[in-house]
Amino acid sequence: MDMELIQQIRGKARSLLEEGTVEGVIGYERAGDGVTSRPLFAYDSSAAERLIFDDTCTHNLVKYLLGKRGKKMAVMVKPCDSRAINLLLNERQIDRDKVFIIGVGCPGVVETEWNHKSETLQARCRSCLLTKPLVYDVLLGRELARKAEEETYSDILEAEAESVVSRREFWREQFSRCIRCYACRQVCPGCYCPVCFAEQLEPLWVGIRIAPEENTLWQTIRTFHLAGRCIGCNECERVCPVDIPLSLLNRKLEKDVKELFAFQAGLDPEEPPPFATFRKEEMPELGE
Amino acid sequence: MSAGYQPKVIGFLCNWCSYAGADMAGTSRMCYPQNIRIIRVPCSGRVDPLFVLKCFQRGADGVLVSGCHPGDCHYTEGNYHTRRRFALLREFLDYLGIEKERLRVEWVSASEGQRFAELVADFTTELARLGPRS
Amino acid sequence: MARIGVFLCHCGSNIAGSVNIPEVIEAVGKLPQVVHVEDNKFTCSDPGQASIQQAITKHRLNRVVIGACSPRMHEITFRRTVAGAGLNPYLLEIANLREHCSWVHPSQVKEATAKAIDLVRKAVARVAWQEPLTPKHVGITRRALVIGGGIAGIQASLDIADAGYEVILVEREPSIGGHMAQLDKTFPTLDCSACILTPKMTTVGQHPNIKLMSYSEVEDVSGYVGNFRVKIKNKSRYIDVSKCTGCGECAKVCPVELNSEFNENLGKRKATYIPFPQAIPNKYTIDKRGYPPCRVACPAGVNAQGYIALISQGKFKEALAVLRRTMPFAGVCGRVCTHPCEHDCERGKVDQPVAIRALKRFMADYELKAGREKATPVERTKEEKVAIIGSGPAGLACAYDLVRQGYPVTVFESAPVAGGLLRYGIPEYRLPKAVVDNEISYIRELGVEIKTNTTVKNLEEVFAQGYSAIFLGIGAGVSQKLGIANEDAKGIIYALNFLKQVNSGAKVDLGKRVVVIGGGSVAIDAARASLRLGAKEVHLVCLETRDLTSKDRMLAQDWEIEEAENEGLIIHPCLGPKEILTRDGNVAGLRTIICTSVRDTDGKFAPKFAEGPAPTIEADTIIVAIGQRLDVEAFEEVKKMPVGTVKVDSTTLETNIDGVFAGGDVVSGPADVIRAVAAGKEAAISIDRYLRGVDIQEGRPETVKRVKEVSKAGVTPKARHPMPTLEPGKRRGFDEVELGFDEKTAVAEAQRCLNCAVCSECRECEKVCEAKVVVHEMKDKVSEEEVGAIVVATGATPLNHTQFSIYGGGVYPDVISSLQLERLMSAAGPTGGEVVRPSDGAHPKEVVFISCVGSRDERTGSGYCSKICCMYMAKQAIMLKEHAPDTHSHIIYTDARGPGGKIFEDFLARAEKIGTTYMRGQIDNVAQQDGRLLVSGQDFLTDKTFNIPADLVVLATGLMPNQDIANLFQTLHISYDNKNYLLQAHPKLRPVETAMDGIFIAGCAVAPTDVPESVAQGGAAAQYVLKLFSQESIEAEPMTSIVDIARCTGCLLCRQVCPFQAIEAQILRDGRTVASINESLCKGCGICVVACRPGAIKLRGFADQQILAEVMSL
Repeated sequence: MDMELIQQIRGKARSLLEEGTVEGVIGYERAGDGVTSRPLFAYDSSAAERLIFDDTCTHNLVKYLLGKRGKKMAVMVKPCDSRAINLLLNERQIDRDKVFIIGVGCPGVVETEWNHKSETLQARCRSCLLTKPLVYDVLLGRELARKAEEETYSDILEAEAESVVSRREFWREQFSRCIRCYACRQVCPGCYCPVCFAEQLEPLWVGIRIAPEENTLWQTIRTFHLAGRCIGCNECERVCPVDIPLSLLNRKLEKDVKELFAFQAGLDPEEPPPFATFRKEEMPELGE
Repeated sequence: MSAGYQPKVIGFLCNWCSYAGADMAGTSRMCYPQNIRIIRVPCSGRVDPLFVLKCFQRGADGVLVSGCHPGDCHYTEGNYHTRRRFALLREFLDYLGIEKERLRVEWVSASEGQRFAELVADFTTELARLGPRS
Repeated sequence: MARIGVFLCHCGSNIAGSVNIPEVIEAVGKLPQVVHVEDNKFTCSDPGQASIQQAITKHRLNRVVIGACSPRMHEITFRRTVAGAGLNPYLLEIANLREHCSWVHPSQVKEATAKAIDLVRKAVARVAWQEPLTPKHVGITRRALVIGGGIAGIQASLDIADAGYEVILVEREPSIGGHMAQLDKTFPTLDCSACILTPKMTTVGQHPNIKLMSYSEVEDVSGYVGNFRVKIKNKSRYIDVSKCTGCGECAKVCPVELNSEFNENLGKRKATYIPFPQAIPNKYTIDKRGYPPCRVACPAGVNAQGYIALISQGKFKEALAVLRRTMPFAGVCGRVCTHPCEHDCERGKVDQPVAIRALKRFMADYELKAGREKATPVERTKEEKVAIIGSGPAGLACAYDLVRQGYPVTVFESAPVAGGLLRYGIPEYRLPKAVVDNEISYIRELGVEIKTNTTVKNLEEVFAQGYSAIFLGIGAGVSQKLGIANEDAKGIIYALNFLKQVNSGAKVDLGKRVVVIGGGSVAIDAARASLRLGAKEVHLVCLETRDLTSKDRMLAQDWEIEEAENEGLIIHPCLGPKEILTRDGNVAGLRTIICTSVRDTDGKFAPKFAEGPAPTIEADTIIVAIGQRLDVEAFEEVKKMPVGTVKVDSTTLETNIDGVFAGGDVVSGPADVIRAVAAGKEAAISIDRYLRGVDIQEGRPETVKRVKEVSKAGVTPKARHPMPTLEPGKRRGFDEVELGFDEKTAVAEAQRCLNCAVCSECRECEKVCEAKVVVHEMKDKVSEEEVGAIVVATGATPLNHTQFSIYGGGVYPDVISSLQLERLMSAAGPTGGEVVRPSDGAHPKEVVFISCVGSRDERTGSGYCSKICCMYMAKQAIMLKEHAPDTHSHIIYTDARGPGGKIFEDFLARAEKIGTTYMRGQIDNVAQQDGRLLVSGQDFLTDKTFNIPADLVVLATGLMPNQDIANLFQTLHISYDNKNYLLQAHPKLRPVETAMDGIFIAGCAVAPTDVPESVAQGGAAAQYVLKLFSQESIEAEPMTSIVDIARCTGCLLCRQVCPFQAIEAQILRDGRTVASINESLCKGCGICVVACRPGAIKLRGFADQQILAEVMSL
């Protein structure tokens, strides 16, 4: 643990709270297992003393801003999480003036489970090229020169090379395990509809029973609603209790959106997302 | 086409071009396979990918989304949005195991009755070739 | 709970023939919520509709499904029926059992019936979710737009205007009238076309309710029925139409003549013109098509077409004045310009480019010979003094432009005489000093002060003398050195020094053998000067190759290399200097090395050398001409580039010092005169803006609109006139080699110009226009109008007959189009109504008409019948006979009919009766034989071949809409077919309506029509407009989108995708932002609904629930 950094974070949180700049600070604290970390909502300076930051801090805290709309909040943001800030700014879900962004330098987070921490960097960190958050009010910790390799989507390409039948079988098996707990949705910073299509009755898009074809529809539409919006934090896959490889879905669309529309979510809060715009001359072959 | 298997096709046709094009095929008495069921929408830009997914979930073998040619949209730009949405959905469906050939996006103008008839025939043949969805 | 009634229509046997109706009834009856099913022979008939209404009452129906024809056919009818029974008209759904089922599956009763059941089930599922909708009422702008000023558009405009409503008539040509104005007579009554059309045109022109916008085009249309907003571009005529009297003085002096479109290229018109005498409005139009290529290619933007046009008219003085509007160097550039203009000259695509440089020189020679009048000094209107440092072409061009704007300008020159490189760099035999002197004198006379023998050391000093801006044009005067052994030997001389000595009249002793090193223009000048100074042998050694097509070619121009070789220069290409050989400290020769490549693939100078035997050339003198650079020590305070040139802003030529600008060789490195002039001019613009304190960057560099296409049709090849030169044998002194054109040659050469831009901007018209209405700087204007209805009558055009070479079209001049014959027969036509052969003006006795040219044949034009040709061929045959009774016409037809009633058929009979030979057949070939045409083909009725000798062949070309009209139709959102004909709302029942409410169509834009049909349709369209205007208000489509604010997340993606700007952000009382839809702007496309992930937007009539219900029913 980088105690110097943690002291900086706590100091900043304290002053933000004491000066009344924000009502609360969203950060990380040590989890009950003493190994991993969990989100902390600090509303006074004593709570701020519990703030930590280390390579177990995997949560994308930006999600919690959605529940604090209208309040002035500070949030700890890793480089990858900052893309969620840009996404939500683009979609007008947060007010830049109401959010104080504590950017933290991040050397990558590791795979963790309850009471256990591995030494393996999460896959998304291995291809992360961001050296610091894209947007912040204060940057704590060091900006890091990363040795990451650019995302090559090799697993997606492999899947694409398979036959359509084997892909069908693969996903049938995966989705058949889905228990529709919606944890993937709950953790996703891009999922914030007041009523989710999966839970509405009129019209009834997704049947309530937990059956493979309904699960398929749920996952297909969930992913498609994130097309050009998923910022790759991969929290959905992390929280999935039945280990459905959701990153294979999200990153497939991320790759296609990049190829078809030259767009990546969360990099620029002003750039119109792919389904908000078009170019007249693109894809001339489709439909003719 | 084998006599036994009749693929089920659902077509979403925009009111101004493609639905009128299908009408034109009828007025001109052009015959095409009976497999298609047409749903009229104001614009191909009204076709939610959800509808298409529901079609496949309900057992459709193929779905056609058809609008005005680019540049000719009655609402100026609806079909450009259609093109983006369904270009991506086709790739995604294929990835999930539904052959992209089963989702067609086609531009048919009000005068292209023949094109519409040929298109339905061609699509039906292709779906028969692909066989039933498992 | 929905109570749905289903009504199935047999449509006679149209539906019942392939759909087993009883089976459908049985199946449908079992559907949930369906409480009543009945069938009817014709549901759309009165009893059919009455039956629906009774059933609604009797069975307390609250939803209705009708299985019948397409909803596009009778939805409105049945909505009215349903409403008549007290039900909301939108609680109705139509299952398309005819167009989408019975008609397309005629012999498959089983499948068609199954499909019909599906379609009805689908409609039942959908209608259950339908909600009652109430249309809103919106007001109507009672003002119509008519697009197209042909006879259909004229009729529509007059009918609407006469009924008391305002009309805006937009016509893209300068006059209304359309093709009817071109006709001589009209069938079948042989009325004079002009006599019946002109009064209508005049009425349009004078009608108080008609706003005629000719030479205008509709650019954009938004809004909806009753409330359209239209953007109309009024193309600039360069004539103030409000004041033009149509006197025609401008056309008399206009030097540019081109084929008259109105006369189908058989006559001529001027660049300023009225298309035909009865034109409405009767105002002139100057035809400008952009900048000519010569003007675009010229770095200084010299308008060559302008002065060439005037030379062609013998107006030599005026021509020179055109040049002097841009720059003062006719004599200089007429001799030494590298003339990029000629490279781009369109005439070069026919034969050879126009000799533009020679013509420029001619103007100067002519003035010099006639004696130039002293120029009138320009009045000084500005206070700020400008200093120009250097009196080369850049400095003088800059001074010239500034002095003419009223600035006091002083040129500082360190040499004893002004002119810079013009004087000291270019030898007398190419550019006589007298010419340079004359043009510098002219600049002086205008008021430019030139201080020679005045060296400026630093800029601070100049500013201190009260100058407000400085132009630095000091050139690149230091020769590059070779950097090889013995370069300091006696007998080495650098080209610029050498030329300066020669040009100053100093004696230079070269010895017998001279070697020049270098491959550029300066090297060639040095070599040719050496020959003239008496050197016995002159050799030129250069790295580059003599192959002038290579990337490694010599940089000198082609002609000067050739001239030099003619004069005896020996060129040693592909060699580099290796070592200078000396004897007693004097030059003895040059050892060379083989050069294999000069420039790399990027064109950068990167010579490569190879070992191997290379010649050694003996020499008494070696002249080094491998380039010049700037004196690096000069003006230290000015920032330089690594190569030593001055660093400037590439557009404005500003240096790092405020108020100091630089241009010419000092910036670019050694270039040519015209580029230096261009730089001087550009700097003058910057200096003027700098001194006036306005934005120096704005609008620069100027975007020049090059003319798009230059027609070369009918241009007969004619070789370029060569520049007369002094014979090589006589070229020992410094006499000028090129001799210049005489007047006759100049005029003949100028006449070769194709007048690419049409108007040459010579501005002679300005001089003669007494009303002062010519405005060459006029810009297109765009205006916005609000209208409630639109009539589209954009017409069609006969296919271009020259594309039918199989019939001799475009090959033989005596194969003409029917419209051309029309113009030949017209008393107002190019021949005054005399029908003559275009080739020799003879009276044609045997005339062959070929019908269906480009009609009824997909391969050559269109697959359809153009309808009017049979009749106009008969008319023309009759008229030919009337013009000259000894004319005999043959009409080779595919089918010959007079559709349009008995008098039409009688008319055909009359044509036959007067002796016209009608022959049903096909043409195999049209050939030329003994000065006549031989038409051969097959007679289908006798099955024999025929060969008809003819004096004139007339191609009856079919009609086709203009190909660029589709853009307009797209703007209007109206449908058209693959030939660009407009689609009617219904081909039989709604022939002048479109699928867009409030937009109506008439005339040939829909399908080929003759005059009476066009008039009838124009009138019919007007009637629909009036019907619309007679309503108090119109029902707006209620199928619009609505936002559920509880579900809206305020992301406003919907606002981004809405094509109609119908969605705005709305801030709620709780501070939340949500989307809000302006229903009057919403057109109900539903793009926003799909964009809305939270499902907060609903499109009334096409709700998710309804469409999903359809999907789920299948």
